[in-house]
Amino acid sequence: MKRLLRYLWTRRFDKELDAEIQAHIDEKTELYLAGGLPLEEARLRALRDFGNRTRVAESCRERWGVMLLDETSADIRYAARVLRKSPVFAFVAVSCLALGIGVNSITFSTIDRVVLHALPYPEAERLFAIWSRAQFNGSEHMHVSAADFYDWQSQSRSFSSLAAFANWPMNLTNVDEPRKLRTELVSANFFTLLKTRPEFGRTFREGEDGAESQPQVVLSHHLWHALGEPHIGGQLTLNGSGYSIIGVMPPSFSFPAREVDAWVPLSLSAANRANRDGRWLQVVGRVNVHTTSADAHTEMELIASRLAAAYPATNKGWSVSLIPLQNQVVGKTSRILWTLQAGMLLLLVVTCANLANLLLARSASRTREIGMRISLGASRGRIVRQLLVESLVLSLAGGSLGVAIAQAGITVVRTLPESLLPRAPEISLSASVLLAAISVLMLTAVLFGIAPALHVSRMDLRSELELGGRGAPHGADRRRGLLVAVEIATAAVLLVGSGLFGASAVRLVSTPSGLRVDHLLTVQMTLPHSQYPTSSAQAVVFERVLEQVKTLPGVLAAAEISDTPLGGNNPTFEMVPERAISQSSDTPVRAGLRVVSAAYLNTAGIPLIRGRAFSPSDRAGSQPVAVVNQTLAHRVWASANVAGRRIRLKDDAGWMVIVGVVPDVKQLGLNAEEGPVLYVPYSQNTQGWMTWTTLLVRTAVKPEGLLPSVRKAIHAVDKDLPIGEVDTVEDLLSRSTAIPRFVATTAGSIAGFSLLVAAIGIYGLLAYTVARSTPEFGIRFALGASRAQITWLVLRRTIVRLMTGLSGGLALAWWLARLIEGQLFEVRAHDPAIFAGVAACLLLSASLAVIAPMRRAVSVDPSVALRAE
Amino acid sequence: MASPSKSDLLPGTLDWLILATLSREALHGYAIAQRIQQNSGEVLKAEEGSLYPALQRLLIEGWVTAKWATSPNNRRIRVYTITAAGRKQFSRETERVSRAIEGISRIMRLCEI
Repeated sequence: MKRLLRYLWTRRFDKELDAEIQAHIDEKTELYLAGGLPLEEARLRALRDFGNRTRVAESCRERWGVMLLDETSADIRYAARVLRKSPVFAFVAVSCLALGIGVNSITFSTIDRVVLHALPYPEAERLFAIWSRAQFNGSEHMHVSAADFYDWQSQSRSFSSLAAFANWPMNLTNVDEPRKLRTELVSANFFTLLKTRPEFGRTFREGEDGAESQPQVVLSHHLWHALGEPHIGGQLTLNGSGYSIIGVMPPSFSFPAREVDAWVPLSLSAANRANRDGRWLQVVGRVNVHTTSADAHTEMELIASRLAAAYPATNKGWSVSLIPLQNQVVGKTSRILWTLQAGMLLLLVVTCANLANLLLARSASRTREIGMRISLGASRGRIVRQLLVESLVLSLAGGSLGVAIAQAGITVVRTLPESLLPRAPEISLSASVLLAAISVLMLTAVLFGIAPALHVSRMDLRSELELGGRGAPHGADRRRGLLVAVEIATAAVLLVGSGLFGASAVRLVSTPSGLRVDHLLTVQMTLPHSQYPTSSAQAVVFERVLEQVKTLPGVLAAAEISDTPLGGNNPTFEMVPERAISQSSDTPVRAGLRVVSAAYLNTAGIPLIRGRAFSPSDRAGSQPVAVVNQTLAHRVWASANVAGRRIRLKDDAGWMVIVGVVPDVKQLGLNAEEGPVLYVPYSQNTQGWMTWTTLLVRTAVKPEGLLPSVRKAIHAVDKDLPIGEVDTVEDLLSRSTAIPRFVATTAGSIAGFSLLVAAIGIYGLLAYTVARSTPEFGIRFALGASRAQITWLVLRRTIVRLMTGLSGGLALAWWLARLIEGQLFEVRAHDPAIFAGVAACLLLSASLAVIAPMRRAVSVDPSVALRAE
Repeated sequence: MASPSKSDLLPGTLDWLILATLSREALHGYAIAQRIQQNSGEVLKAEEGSLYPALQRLLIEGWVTAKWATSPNNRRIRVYTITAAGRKQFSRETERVSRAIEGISRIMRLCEI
């Protein structure tokens, strides 16, 4: 539309100007006619008086800038034509640009939002996570007991406020589909501390977290929406009691995790408030404006040491650790993101080098065309402008494709789950990042695109035309050689990185998990405490569910366990072992406690090392028994032969006899040890508060397919029993390795791409050299050179470049590898096999790349080559 | 590039001459050229065409406006009229031009040409 308007305007302008000039000349002619001159003479004089009519018209048009536009559009049309004529070049150049801009914009935007941007709470830099620190075993981030929290709150002066919260799943009933909610218990000042206002209604007021407070709930936006957007003041049945809805948080608010459905007050009884033993709260604090984090830390340590002195039974050996909330949320992720970003930057180096290489190669082959155009009268400025426009057209095409890639990539990244990437929904394409990426690539394109034009100004036209472009300057060759070396070096670094991450991921994935993971369905259930208050009542329900499920077709075995295997949860308790030998008396043995049904070990496929598994004869009245894992046996008794020894929970006087020893399970993920673990049967369980369990079903068919019948079986026992998370152990396992696998795959693909680009670079340079030297080879052959001599002549410089690039790259990789050592699993940063493998891989690719040009070089027919001259 | 100020004038003087001419009456291109020639001796004799790019510039600056009209002898002509901004520019330019002329005549006196 705009173009049409401009075209019409130009047309009209030209016509009017022409009419005006014509009128001027006519009038002047008439003047001369009136003076008595003949018509011809009069017209000639009038024209001469006027001057160069065309130039005047052009000059008028130029005044309006019309001229400039015309020339530029001609340049663009010409550039498009030139690029269409070399589609392979255009394709490679555009895709290099697009990829470089695309992936870098994705990773940079992610880092910008996730790592660099403050958390989405006002003055978020003053927020800290505060943990108990167990000095005796070096655990930095332990939960906090309620009594400690209230003491911290009343004694600390550095914090304007401290809030506590705890993950506390609750059952939602009185709705169409009862389900388990991810709820958080929070102290009343929780929302005020985060300075976040609700979308509707209100949040908790001070004092609303007392033991006698009215049950109230604040909903997340997504739960409010899922429940059909109930009114403020409406009722919700949670764990069997009515809670009134007082507020709804905005969609952007999700603390401490994206999946949180609702927040209820941490209404503790006086006894629970005074409990210093159970460490189960998380604490977040906002430091005062003028307090430094070091001051706050010192003060908290002082308070902790006071508490340790006052309550040695529970607090001896316990201190605190403070970390900025931002680090807490994104700490682990940020290292991974920076590593990926480093890889992407190297990829950008490769793509830039490749682009520069391509443009230089083109410039060499276009010297002749340019020489021709100059000798036909094109001004040098016009040629430079033409080449510049060509580069810009390339950059623009690559840039817009790159933006499209970035936009699509970010849409995907935003949907990543919290476990893979925290704060993902906050990510958006950052304009400044995009601008930076585009300018880097544009600069490359422009710089190397006009190189031939600058060369033009020094060009000796006659020799260029005569030599047919073969007289390309040696400088360009050297530059291209250097670029190829850079490409090889970068590829080497990326290959080493991907090799390390790849090996690490392979080791991780092939680590035995400790159980048979296939065909294993897990279904979480939580019993309403009010309905099943005692452990024996709970055991009865759990047993009845098992009986129902076992009879289903397709089910091979079924069992229950208090914490999903490989699920990441490992609640630990202090244990008192009998006749421990490898214990100093005052350090407690903390061990994970798993309450299981009799058939658990068998169902999960955990083999026995010693002794026996549980059996139905281990009943409520019979001798209490336990099974321990290898680590516990070795750490406490330094032996696997511990059957018959006794152990008890510190808070429970009843001794249990150990009947069996099993291997460790990778409960916390494949890259971590679960530590000491004690298994006890549900039939003898005394922990009445453990109202949750995970049903484990070994199936003969695809586990997901059995879910409807399992659900029906559970509801046959109690139709109000809510069903929580459903999963398969295989999925759990694959999710636990998702990040390392993702990093390895990404590193692998960018390394593979860089290898390809480097190979293309070697091939391109060599093919070009050979093509240019064909007559020279012809002469050498004619003078009796052997094929070996010609081969050496061609290869010599390529080998130098390859070796320079390779050794430089490996040295750089050697140095950089230390930086990622912490992110590797059972792979040394300087693994010689990987470095050797990378060298071999690059040499092999280089050899493949040189084969074709070499064959062309040695098969030069002297007579043909010389005749071409 | 063809420059309109090749007419052996002080740079910018042609613009001033046009503004000076138009400040008394609205005229079309040919008439402006005639007036300048008549009133200035032979100054603009070299190239009448150079008037037109200068007129375009004045149009762009908004110092003059143009309108198509029919002349008494039935010719389609484009009549240029000076604007208020053009008059202001004219007085500024007049000052500049007279200073330049004064300077030049001083040097001429010095050289006793």
